[in-house]
Amino acid sequence: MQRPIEILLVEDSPGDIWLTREALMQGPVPKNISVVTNGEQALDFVRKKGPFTNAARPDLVLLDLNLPRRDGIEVLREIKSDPELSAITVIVLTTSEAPIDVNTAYDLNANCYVVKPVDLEEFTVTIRGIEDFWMNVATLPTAPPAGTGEATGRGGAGAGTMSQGSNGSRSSKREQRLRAIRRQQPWKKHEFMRGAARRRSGAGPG
Amino acid sequence: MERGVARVRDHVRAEGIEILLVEDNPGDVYLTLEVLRLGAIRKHVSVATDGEEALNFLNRAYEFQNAPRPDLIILDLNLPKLDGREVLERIKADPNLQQIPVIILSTSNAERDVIAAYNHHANCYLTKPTDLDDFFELVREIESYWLKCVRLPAA
Amino acid sequence: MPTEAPTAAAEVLLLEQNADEVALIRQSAEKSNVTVVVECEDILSYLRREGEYENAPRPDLVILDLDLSRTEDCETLTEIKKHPSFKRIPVVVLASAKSYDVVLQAYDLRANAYINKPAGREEFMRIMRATLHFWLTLVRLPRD
Repeated sequence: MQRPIEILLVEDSPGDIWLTREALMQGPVPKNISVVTNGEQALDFVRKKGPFTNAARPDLVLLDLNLPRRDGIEVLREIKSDPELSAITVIVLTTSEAPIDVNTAYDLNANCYVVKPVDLEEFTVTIRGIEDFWMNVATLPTAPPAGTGEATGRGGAGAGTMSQGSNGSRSSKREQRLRAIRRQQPWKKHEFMRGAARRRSGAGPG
Repeated sequence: MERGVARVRDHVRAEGIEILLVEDNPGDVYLTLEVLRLGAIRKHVSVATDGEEALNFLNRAYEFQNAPRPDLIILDLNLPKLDGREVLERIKADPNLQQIPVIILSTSNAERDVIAAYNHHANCYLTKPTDLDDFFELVREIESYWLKCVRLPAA
Repeated sequence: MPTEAPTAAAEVLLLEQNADEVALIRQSAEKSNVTVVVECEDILSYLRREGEYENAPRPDLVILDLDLSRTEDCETLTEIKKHPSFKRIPVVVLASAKSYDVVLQAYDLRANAYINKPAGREEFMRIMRATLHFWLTLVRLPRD
């Protein structure tokens, strides 16, 4: 049986933490999601320092760039320049589309750069796309290989389990209510912001 | 309290209070909108997802010719294109816009950010909690203070 | 606000010696332009825009079918990921690794992703389609 994929989510915004976790938990691959909310904690986590001495080595790091206490670029630089850590797959997941951020991230050997879509449904599709590629197609350096006889659709119906880094979660009544609301009312971008939604959607070098 | 509420209502237009939310993180936009939507005060929320867009909206430039004038602005500091700190400065330097109350709602709790915001005449500074429940509470309190207690300037 | 320019077809540069696999990859690529080279040397010449490749477009994505037990293959990957002009272009390595060390080696040599080549044709196409879809649609690619 495939062990769960260990994911470290480095993100300080509460809403994006929630959205990302939700989208990941809906995916079929069994996974553990840890969350840290600043750059310093991210580095402590991967180095198993401080409160993270028993942290699992991440198979995948989802890294926001705008972080307090050591921003995402610094975290990326530290991880990818340390021979002990550089093999860890780091996906930059951020709102910035600025070419300088994109180019710098790739120059620092980020495995890939993904812009968070503004639209809620697109956001979920993007997270699922990350799961599909990195957990079902690619072979991660820290996880047993896919497609070597083990089914590529791993683990059937197992949804992600949750373990938390520093900010201890619980599936609160609020979360349940949010999920219920979300099922009825997908958020639509305000009518005045249609222009921005058009600009933001679609990736590639454009 | 009753009188406070009545005064606010006198100045509220038919559609309710106009709020401009300037926030790039899609999850936070969603959460903030949801909590505001659940609140009792009638309101209309516009969302700008970067600093440039926010200023165009406020200046009714480009595609925002018919944008409503906000009664209140909720502003994140870390924004793409034009930083929230810049946006704040420009709003408070503009005689047409400076009366609009600006609430900073940011994940940063760096002292220098707080001081700089108040130096640039932010009306108040709130740190976004990372915990979901706490975030909910905070937005509810924004509603109850800024939309119920406080008298907003007439548009 | 500036209007969006229509997005041009993506450029994929492929190092692949097996004609069958080339055909499958082209099929999976649909609207993207796929340039195929057969020798490691040619991949580097292409990226350096040397000789016949003087006017070659910059690839958006590089796919390398490598045998990482060969020094030349490893050196090619290293060279690509060192060169200031094109080290930032995402490189996906395709290989049939017998041992897990090879996977690690690919990542150590700075491959953006490693994919184990599946045996069957259909599975191969599925993998390639998913790969191209991910890198050319969901990912924000670097620019010059």
